[in-house]
Amino acid sequence: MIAYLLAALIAACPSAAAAQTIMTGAHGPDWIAIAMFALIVIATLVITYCSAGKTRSKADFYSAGNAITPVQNGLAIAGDFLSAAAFLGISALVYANGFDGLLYALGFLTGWPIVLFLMSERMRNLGSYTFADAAAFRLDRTPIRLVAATGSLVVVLFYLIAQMIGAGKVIELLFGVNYLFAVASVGVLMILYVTVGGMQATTWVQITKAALLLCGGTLLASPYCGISISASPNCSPQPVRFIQKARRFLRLAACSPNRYRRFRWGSRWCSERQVSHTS
Amino acid sequence: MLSVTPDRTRQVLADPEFGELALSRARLRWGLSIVTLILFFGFFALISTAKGALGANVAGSDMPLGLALALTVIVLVVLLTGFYVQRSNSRFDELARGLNRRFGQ
Repeated sequence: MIAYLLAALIAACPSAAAAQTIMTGAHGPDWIAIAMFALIVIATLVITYCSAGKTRSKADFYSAGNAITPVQNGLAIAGDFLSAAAFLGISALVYANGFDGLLYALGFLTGWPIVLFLMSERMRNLGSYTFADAAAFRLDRTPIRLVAATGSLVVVLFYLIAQMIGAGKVIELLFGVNYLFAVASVGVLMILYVTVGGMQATTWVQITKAALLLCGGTLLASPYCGISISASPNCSPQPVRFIQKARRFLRLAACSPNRYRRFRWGSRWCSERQVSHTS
Repeated sequence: MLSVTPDRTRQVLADPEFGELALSRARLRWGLSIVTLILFFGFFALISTAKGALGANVAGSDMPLGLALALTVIVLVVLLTGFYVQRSNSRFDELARGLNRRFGQ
């Protein structure tokens, strides 16, 4: 109950602070976005609260009592994969660097099956949960655990920085709150999900995230693939122009490096003109 | 839990069926890893050498060739994963179960 009150308090905090600053925002508050955000935060906190009640033992906390099905786990991993860094960062990288940015998306993706091919069978044979367990079985235990822990912490640290900046920036934009406050509140919310709910809550929050991002991503990508989703006539020109622009960017990134560099650093007007020359 | 003695270990290692299981597993594991690496680094090489060609549209649509290739790589990698999972769940599990039955008693 205390945890629930705490959660409600933290969820309420950004909006309370936002209420003061939001009026001074240049664009005015985007109430639909704020409502969606609040809804998702509340929904995930309810999930956390519900699974916190179910967590009774250490196995429940760390491995959700072995009650997660492969499909659920797959969706949760997809939720991990489709992070703020992947969703916003890769879009930005492709936007800024064309095909070079696309390599990041592919690198992410092709890395996973290699881990599966090389590690999964050994881990399953040993019944271990982590790569470190499997490696420690054959090699010297302490150094392997040190290497594995250092590796994970270094990766997590850099990954976390990108995620926190992404989430902090979104909240700053959405609520008009101070950036530092936005980052801190996101961090507190994340810690809450994991410490209160354990693996069960984390998995369900990730599944929710995966479902939302997959739907949103499909919706955004469908006009590119030629599927019309325009709801009203005054809504359609926007996505069409966006898609045309995105295509131009990809094509431009493929052009000669000189023109590409000029484009990157040149003014918008210049670049637009060059694009119309090249295409 | 079966007891593991040096004798029994030698017996299992000498078994032809175990040898076949280990060999075909290793072959699948390394084969698929190498194919995945070739796909990724092939695309990498293509981007660094033939960027202009990748910008051209696929005939009959306005999708750039590079994007179409990237999507192909994604689909292929997903198919490889499916193949691996299918293979280890059917053939290898079958072999391992047979071995367990013979040696586990």
